[in-house]
Amino acid sequence: MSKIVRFPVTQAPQKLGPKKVRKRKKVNLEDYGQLNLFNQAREIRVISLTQAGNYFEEALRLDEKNDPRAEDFYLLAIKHNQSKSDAYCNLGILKNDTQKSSEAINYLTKCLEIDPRHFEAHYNLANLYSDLGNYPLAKVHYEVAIQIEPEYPNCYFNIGLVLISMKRFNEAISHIKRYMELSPETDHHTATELLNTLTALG
Amino acid sequence: MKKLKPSKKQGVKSKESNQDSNIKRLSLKQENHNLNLLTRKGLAVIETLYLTNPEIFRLATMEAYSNMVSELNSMGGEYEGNQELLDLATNQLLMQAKKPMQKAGKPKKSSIETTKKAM
Repeated sequence: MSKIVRFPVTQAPQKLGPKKVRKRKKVNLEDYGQLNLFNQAREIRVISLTQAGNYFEEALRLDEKNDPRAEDFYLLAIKHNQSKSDAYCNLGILKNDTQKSSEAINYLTKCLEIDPRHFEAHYNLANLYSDLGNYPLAKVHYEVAIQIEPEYPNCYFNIGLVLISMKRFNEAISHIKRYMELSPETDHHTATELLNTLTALG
Repeated sequence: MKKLKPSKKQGVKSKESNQDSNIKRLSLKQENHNLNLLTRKGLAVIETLYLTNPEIFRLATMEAYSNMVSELNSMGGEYEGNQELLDLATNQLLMQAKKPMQKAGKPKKSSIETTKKAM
């Protein structure tokens, strides 16, 4: 005879789902006559040996994360003669970010004292002077930066903006065109708009 | 066909409505004139402040000033404004488009891109 199964089932069947792993009870190795060597060190931190003592690298790392301790590490790098000119330059950027223009200029010029051909210092000083509205001085620093690194496109774009402010439109056009030659096409949007406006003006 | 003549009452009403619209137009004109004067006075105050202490002017203030001047002109106000202040505002806005500062001690963005391109 066939078996009759009643439907609906009155009691819900037990669901077979995922099962969590339970924390196992720690085995005391000493109970088995072994010495337990691993109980004491619970947390181990891996420290990069190359970074130990390299204050500049550490400062750069912190700076990337916008960590305020970066400033202290740059100062430590200067104290220990580690990439002194670069550290001064980056301190200048940090000061500029906190609207302390005079301190920023001080650090950037200290960088140039050590290395008068420091590209980033000239470029950043030019940016700072253009923010302050001192366009002739900004132009000079951009020009020096271009002399040092003629293939860096951003210098051409920024000097173009300075020249527009000085109403020297033809020179601005040639610099912006140079920027477009050196930079990838994805960065051309603003430059194209500027060029269109400038040619309409001329 | 007979043309319908407006009744006397209707004629009076239309005259009244014409008068009303004329009055409204005049009052709107007066209102515009007053607003124009007020804006000019406000702009003059800003210009005086700028001439007495230019350092208090920030980018936002300059931008607001240049916007006010252009809006007044678009409404037919014919206002020249302080050319120095307008130039400053334009230059400051222009400088906002500038490429950022470059940190020392790490490869430049553009040089990374060019090496990627070469690869």
